[in-house]
Amino acid sequence: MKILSLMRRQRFLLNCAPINTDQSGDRSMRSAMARTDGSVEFINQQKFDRAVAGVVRLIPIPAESAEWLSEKNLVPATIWTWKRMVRNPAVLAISIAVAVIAGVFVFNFVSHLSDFPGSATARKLLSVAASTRPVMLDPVNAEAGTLSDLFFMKHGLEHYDVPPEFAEFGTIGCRVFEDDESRRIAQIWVAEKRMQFFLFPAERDSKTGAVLRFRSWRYVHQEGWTGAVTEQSGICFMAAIRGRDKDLEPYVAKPKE
Amino acid sequence: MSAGAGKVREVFRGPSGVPDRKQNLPQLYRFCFLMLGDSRKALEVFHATLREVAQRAARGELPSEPFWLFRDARWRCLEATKSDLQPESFELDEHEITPQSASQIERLDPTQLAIWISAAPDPQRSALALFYLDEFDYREILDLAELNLSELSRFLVQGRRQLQAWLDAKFPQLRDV
Repeated sequence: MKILSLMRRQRFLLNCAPINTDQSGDRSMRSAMARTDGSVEFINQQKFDRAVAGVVRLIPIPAESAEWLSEKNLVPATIWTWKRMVRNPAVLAISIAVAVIAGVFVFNFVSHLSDFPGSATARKLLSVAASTRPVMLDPVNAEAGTLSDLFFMKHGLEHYDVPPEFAEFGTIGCRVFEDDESRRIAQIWVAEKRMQFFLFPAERDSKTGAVLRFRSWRYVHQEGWTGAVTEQSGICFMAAIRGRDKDLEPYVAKPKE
Repeated sequence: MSAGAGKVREVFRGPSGVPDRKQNLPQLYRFCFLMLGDSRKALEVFHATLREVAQRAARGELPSEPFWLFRDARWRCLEATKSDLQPESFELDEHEITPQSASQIERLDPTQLAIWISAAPDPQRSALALFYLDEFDYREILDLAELNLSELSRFLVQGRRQLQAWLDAKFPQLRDV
């Protein structure tokens, strides 16, 4: 049964045998053609097919089609031009993705350029400043510079000193609270432009415990608030205001770095 | 049409300028002619196919499948003859191929052959046109004409015998030379 089927397939293949015997690239076709062993029937078929194909080759190409088929002024094929490559959806998608990733990297890099030890805490405290209401503080009517004694006497906070630049501002209230890392923070609200001051422990080296110092005033920004931060004796002071750097610049002694 | 023609030439030739066998344009015209048996209709289908190619190329939407140009032209030919008179389904005479067949065929005019092939019912017409173009191997013809091997074999055998009968009727003096 299998032999019969094979013979039938070979017969089918021979009926479709290529006109040009050089084109018999298929192994099964080559095998079928080899088995004919020069049969008269197959030779006649081949002659017949070659003669018909010869007539087909004589079909003239009309002059009207000459322009489509002309060899002259052939445009050199430029398969991949820049313009075409840029329009490719895959290239476009990858370019956009790379641009977004690069943008995020640049944004992170630029935003961390102004980082300093304690800047993360300072930003958190700017959020606290934004949400603080006057009733949350104990009313105190004094000069800000005098509250150092209060913080030391009442709360045992050493070196919680307001810098001279802000020491003369009249206060509305103050409080001492602990942040989420149990650090004790002193908060002072002053009448001047409704600024708020924060005093908090400076960041320390995790191995040595030494205070990570930084020079002069540094600026941080969060939710429309700006803070000018300085460090002295292991305690950071931050003057926070709703606004921009230029609103704080007149108060700080030295220009920002 | 100049821009379209340039675009099509650009599409179907590699950097070497050698025509792509799979999309050989003169053979495409001959295929249309064999399918339709009328040079005017063949030219219309040929130009319509190439205009479509030029538009697709301009949009960068050329299909990557091989022989799509011939596939497209085949459907256009079938569409063009849909409203024409269809060949009646009756048994044509069939004669055995003889050694004298070649000399009979050589006396044929290409237009006569094209008219004879175009009068065959499809898919036999497509099978004969594609086979005698001598452009594709049998597997490619199976794919293009959407046939299986036994069908293609049957259409070709039948086609040869019917053509032989027609040749015998047309050139009886050469029959028994």
